[in-house]
Amino acid sequence: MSIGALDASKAYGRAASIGNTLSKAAGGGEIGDDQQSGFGAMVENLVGGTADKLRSAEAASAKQVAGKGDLIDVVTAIGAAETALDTMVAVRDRVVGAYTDIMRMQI
Amino acid sequence: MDLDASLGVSASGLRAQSLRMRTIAENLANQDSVADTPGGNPYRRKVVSFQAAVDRANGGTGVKVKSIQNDQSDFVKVYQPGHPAADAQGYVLRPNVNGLIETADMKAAQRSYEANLNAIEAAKSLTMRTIDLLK
Repeated sequence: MSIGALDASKAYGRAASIGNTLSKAAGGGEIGDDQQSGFGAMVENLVGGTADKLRSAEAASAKQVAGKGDLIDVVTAIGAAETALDTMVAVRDRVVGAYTDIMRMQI
Repeated sequence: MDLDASLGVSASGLRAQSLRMRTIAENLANQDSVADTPGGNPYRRKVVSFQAAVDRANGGTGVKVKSIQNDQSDFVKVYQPGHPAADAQGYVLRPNVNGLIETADMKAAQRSYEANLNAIEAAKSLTMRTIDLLK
């Protein structure tokens, strides 16, 4: 079995094309940016939802501090925001971990 | 998610029980509120009734206060001829509030509130432990 000099570049090309399809699926590729789908959209939804919940929790706390709010509203809003943030952070950590695992992979 | 819905349901329980607690506080605070005109009616005890209510936002069946109604039982008659509210026979009508009943009711409201708090705590810790599976 002979190891050609071109084999390495071929492997690199294959890896690059796999990377391309992956990033296209993530919605971050240079081609097909108009169709927001897959991982990118999911993260966007997650972050957007979390931000919304954090904002409503903040509004509820501000109302409570001003003496016009309901303590139960504050508790539920902050609970929902906390859960959403924790979910988002856990998913992000998981994905970043997967990414670094791929980066460390032997070629 | 159903655990979110159960948080909402428990929150509705907290709200309903706090309104019940408020009504009990009103009854206790007014157990000496009598009229200031002869033969006038004193404070009438209030009773809260609850009702199941579906929350459209999360689909859970929570609870809400259906109505706060007056207790129609008779007022207590006390002989106090010198009182401004005394009628021609010298009797004053006192509120139909019984401190013992209110105290027992308050304990029930307190227990129910605590049960809802515990349900919230349990649902929250289950959610957190589920998220921890990702970590």
